[in-house]
Amino acid sequence: MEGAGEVVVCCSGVDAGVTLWDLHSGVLISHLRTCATPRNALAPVGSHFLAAAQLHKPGSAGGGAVHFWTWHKNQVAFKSYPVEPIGPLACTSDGAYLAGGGASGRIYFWEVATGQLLRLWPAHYKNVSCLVFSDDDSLLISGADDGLINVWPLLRVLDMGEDNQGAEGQVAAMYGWSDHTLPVTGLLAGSGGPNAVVVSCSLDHTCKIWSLALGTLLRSIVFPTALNAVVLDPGEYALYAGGADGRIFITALNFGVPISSGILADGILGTDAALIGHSRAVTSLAFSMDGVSLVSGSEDCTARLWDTTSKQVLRTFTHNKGPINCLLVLPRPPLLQHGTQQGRSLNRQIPTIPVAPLSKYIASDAVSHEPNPWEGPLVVLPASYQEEEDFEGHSYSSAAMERQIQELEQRGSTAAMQMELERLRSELRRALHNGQQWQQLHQELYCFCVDELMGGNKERDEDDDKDGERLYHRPSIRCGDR
Amino acid sequence: MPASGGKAPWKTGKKALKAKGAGIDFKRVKSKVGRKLPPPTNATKTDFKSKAIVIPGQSVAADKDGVAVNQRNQTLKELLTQSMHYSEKVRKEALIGLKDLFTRFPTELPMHAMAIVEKLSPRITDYDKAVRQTLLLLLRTTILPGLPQGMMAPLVPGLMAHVSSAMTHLVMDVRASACSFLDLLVQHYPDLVVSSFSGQIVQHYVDLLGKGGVSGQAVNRVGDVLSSLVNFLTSLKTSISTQPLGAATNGTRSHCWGQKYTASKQMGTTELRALHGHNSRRPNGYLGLLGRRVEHGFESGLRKDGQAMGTGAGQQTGVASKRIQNTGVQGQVIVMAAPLVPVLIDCWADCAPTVCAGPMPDAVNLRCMVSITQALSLLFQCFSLEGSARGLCKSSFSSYFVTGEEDWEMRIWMRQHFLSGLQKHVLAAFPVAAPSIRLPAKVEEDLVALNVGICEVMLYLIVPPHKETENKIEHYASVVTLQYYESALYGMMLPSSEMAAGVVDSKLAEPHLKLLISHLPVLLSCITHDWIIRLLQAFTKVFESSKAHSAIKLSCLSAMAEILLSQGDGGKVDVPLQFQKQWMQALPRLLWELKHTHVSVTQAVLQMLLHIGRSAPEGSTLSEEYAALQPHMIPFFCTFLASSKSEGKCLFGPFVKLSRECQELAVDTMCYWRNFSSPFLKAMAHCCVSDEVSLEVAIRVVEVFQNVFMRGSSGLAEHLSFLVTLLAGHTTAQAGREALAGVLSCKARIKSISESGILGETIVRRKIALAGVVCSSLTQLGDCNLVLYLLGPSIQKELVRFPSFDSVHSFLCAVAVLSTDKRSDSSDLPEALRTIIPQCVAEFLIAFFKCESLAGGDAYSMVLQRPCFLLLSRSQDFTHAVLSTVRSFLTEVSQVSAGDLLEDMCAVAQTLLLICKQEKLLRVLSNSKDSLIAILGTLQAYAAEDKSENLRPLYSQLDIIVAAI
Repeated sequence: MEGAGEVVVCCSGVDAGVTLWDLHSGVLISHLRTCATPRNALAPVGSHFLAAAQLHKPGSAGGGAVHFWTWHKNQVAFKSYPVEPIGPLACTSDGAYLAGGGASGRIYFWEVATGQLLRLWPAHYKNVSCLVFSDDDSLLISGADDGLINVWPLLRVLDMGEDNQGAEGQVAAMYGWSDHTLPVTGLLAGSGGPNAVVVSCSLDHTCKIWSLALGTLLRSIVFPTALNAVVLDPGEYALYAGGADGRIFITALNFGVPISSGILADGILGTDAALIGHSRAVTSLAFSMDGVSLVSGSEDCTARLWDTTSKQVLRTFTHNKGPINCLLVLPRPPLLQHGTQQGRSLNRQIPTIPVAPLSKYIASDAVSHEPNPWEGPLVVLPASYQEEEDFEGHSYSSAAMERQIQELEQRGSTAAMQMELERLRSELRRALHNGQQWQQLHQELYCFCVDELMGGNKERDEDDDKDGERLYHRPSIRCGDR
Repeated sequence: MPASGGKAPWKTGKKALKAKGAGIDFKRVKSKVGRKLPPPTNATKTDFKSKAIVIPGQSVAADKDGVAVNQRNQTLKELLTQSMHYSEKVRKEALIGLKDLFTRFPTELPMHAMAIVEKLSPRITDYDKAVRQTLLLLLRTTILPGLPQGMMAPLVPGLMAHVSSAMTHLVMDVRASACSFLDLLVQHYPDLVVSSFSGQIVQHYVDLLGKGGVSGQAVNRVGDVLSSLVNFLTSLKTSISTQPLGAATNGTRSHCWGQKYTASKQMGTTELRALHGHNSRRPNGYLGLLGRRVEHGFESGLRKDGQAMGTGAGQQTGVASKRIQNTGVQGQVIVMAAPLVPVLIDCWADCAPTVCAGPMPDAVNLRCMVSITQALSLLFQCFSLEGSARGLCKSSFSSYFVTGEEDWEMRIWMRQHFLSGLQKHVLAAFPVAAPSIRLPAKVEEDLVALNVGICEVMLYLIVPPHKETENKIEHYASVVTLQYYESALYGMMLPSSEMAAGVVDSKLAEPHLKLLISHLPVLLSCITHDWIIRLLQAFTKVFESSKAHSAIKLSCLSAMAEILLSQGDGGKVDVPLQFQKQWMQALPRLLWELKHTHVSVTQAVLQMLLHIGRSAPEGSTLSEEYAALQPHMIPFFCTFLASSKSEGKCLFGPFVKLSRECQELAVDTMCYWRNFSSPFLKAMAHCCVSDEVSLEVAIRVVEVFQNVFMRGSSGLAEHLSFLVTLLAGHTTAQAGREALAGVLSCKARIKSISESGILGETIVRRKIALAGVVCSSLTQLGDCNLVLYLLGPSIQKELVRFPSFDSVHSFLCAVAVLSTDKRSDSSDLPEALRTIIPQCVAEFLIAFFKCESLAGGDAYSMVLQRPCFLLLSRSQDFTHAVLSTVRSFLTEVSQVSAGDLLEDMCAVAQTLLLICKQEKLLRVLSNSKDSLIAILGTLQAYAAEDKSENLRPLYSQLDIIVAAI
């Protein structure tokens, strides 16, 4: 897995397809055809598929569709046509659910394996502009042109019976943040599941940082220009915001102790800085998992790889057709390993997660639709993966935490405690028993000694001679044992 | 001398007298009864006692250097010891002395806080009234303000123990004054006191106000107790309402990118902190104590529940205990505070007869009743907050509270338990009418407050019609309340009897009106349709009649925002369209009337517009109404005077003078309009190009318009004309510029360009920045060649008619950026621009060198020249055309032979030198060498005549370079 690295996936607003480059070598890996997306509309579905919503141009056929590709084939695997043009797309990290935001402000929620439209609810007043899942896939966060950011717990989204309104009912938002005054253009959930921070940027020149745990605004950062994209480095030391004037602004997030000459910041990012290189507006940003490489896509038809420590451009990827609208940095998909042959063989080894075309409408009656309502979608259990280390390579910190918690729980579970208690009790019983034995022995010995000293009748003495010897010897043996 | 010592000689004297009387005749000693005989002179006193006088140190004389002392040279230790003296006067003096000491040495207070509070707190239960008064004064003025909340956390429990003991003291006076101590503590340490001790305190209040309390013994103290209860409940309410959102105010910091931290440091050292997703605030108070109390409350609730004593109590605690489970700590409020309500109603029953029945209301009792209504409404508010504590978190607009199901449930519960009591006593005389005599102002004021207070209390008990039980009496209560509410909105706060007019002074009514209006949004969601219309009519009248910058307007606005937003949210309040229309139409006018002086109201109006704009669903009537506001907003930005005489004269609206935040907000509201009318765009363009609006705001305007256009909402023609207007830097309405008539000679044009260049650097910089933003907007529009083709004719017209330094630069910028786009294939300029652009490039460069003020800074001039070079490098034909313009200029100049001939020649030479020096241009220059040489020839002729030695070195340099090409 070490050699596989990461890939840069990007596509533009004109029909120029999706281009994949190797992040570190800059080699063109693949080109997927037929794709013209709006912003934030590219999402990997599981590790085998890529989904992209298509730009809707009035009058053109096929606009507003959602296209799916498998990584190793250039042609569109299948197309789905939702009711209205979909803008942003987001998929859970296991590829189970796909969420899409519509132009009317509604959010569509599909189950990938069956393609069923599970839920559809009015989420915003205006066009939804960005969608993102929290890193533990428990919350869906949406931003829109009306400047609102809403947080939806998946629990409420999937629980249709909550308001007795069925699958088209209103979902109650966990939080609604309305501090942005202009359309929200970028959203990002930090790591830490429900305790993470959410970063949003907007055309109103500000980035705002929110707390998911408290539901409050933690900080608002004002930039000199309108912002199109925002990203945090994996350690969440610094915030990178792509501006409409082609600059990428850097600002440190974690401030340590204030000292006399300003505030001592964590790491190297003492002051605010900017990466200057793009000639047109920056539209998308993505961070590599190595923590130093930033990839930015811009309207000037290039994507640039930056080294954030030295603030230099390491490589420029030229997307020759049009302005880049979406850009992702992903671990290299297993289907695109070096050499096509290997890819083919892997393809045979690893079972693909089933992906079905997305349905247009909510199934009117779930019970009558399915003959057996207990039959769920097909699920690939993680145990069926052959190469475990493949997935160790890019596991997230929260997964590791979960494992640790599980271990802890096992060790400290009540059952274990019960067993320990039981063991201690039996030990106590044994000790008490021993003590009694010793006491009895002492009593006997005492009686014997008294008899001996008193010099009882001879007969008895002779009779018990043997017994006395034995009794006399036993304690000494015991003592010797100890 | 001891008393017994005095008695003995007297007795002996009597004995001696008797003995003498027997022996000696007629020796009669006159002695008066009761007079003491002088002791015999030779008597030796043996009955004295001796006592040592212990003086540890002379208070006055002792050396107290370096120790904090007061005016009387007493140290803190002495004073504290004296504060426990058995004599009241000494105690009082000591307290006064302490006050003096602390004013002299403020640091003593925090240093010895523990000792001071410990020693002084027993004085709360002091028997002497004067001592208590002094202590109260000492605490209020000196000690409590000097000790911050964090420091008092460990000391408050001890203090509260004494206050509690005082509140339950046997002596009436102590009990009454304990309330004022409690007041003081609640005022200074609301979090500490309310969070941990409220259960205890409420119990004490119940005892105080109930039977055998103050009301039985000292009627005149009831008022004080009640007012302190109101204070306590106020802080209880705030603590409940802020607890779930406690962190909201805590961590929010704004940070400006690129701003120096040293600057922000001056504002506060904790400007930016680490970003935690967690609330890292330390818990207030003692959690152990809290936890125990909650548990206790919960158990008692359960116990009562189990006993099921009567339906009322059972239900009450049932709901309450459920709350505890739901909301944790706060649930106790209902359990503990509910007994206060009947007690307060009893109090009311005691006071009411003297107020409502007699011809002249009793002022003291009236005051009490007003306090009772305040306390009741605060209590109900607390209950409602408890009820919606869960609902509050999930409501989507956290600033506007949306009434959830829990809230109704709570209201129904309150209605069941308290309404009958209230009905019997409180509602009996409601609304209290003014008696038919002339009242003192104070009493009248109180009567109004009483009425409004009752109304407010009743408003908390109104539930939606479908939840109402079929009870006639209950229905009556709602109707009376609503009727009064309506009439109060119309200004009739005191129902008139025959003589007095019901209308009260508007100044007096203002706070009450504000209060009532704040209840409107919730009220509307729970009344029937015809009542909604009646109330909204009254409300609209209030809104329209209030002054533009009054507090009532502001509260009206916030109520309106709440109503409209909740409507968009779930359709709870069905506001008839006519009212919405009326309200929204009033807003632009209001903005204009407010001018720039009432920033807060302006901001509220703009916020509301923004909220309406963004929350109006596409195609709804609300969004149509919003779009219809656009023409009315124009005067807010700027107005054009239409009269023929002063054509082009315009007046800026309040917008240009507002603060930056308000301006940005106003700009942001435009983002939610779907299309723009041309008068509106004209006004905005005029604002942008004028110097009164800051560059940042102007750029924001461009960005917002661009965003609206890219969304596909506004029309291309309008958008392009807006952008071109910004490039041109003037609107047609702008005065002071007249169009150059007809085709002008090169010389005249250059003159006009260079003259307008001397505007000053800051202005030109502004124009450059704006041009940059506009150009980047233009490139986003799509195929750049097409855009250039569309813009061609208007650019040409502008360049021919109004050549000025900044506009020529801006247009060249735009043309350069658009024509050199990588994505487009063809490189030809559109027909309209083919002749004018090369001409302008030449003219601009020559004018640039003629204008000495601009030829200075390097980076700056590079920015100005860059578009010219970009254009020049495009093709050889273009360069040729530029050079031919230069030639024609030269010939023109040489024909006239005016005084500044040499100056012009120098400028031409500099221009050529600059062009020839550019390495990138070498390729395109090589083809037009002929024309270069021809120009050189002309220059040479003049260089020979040159006497000022300016032209000659330039010429020689040029000659060398041209030869090298």
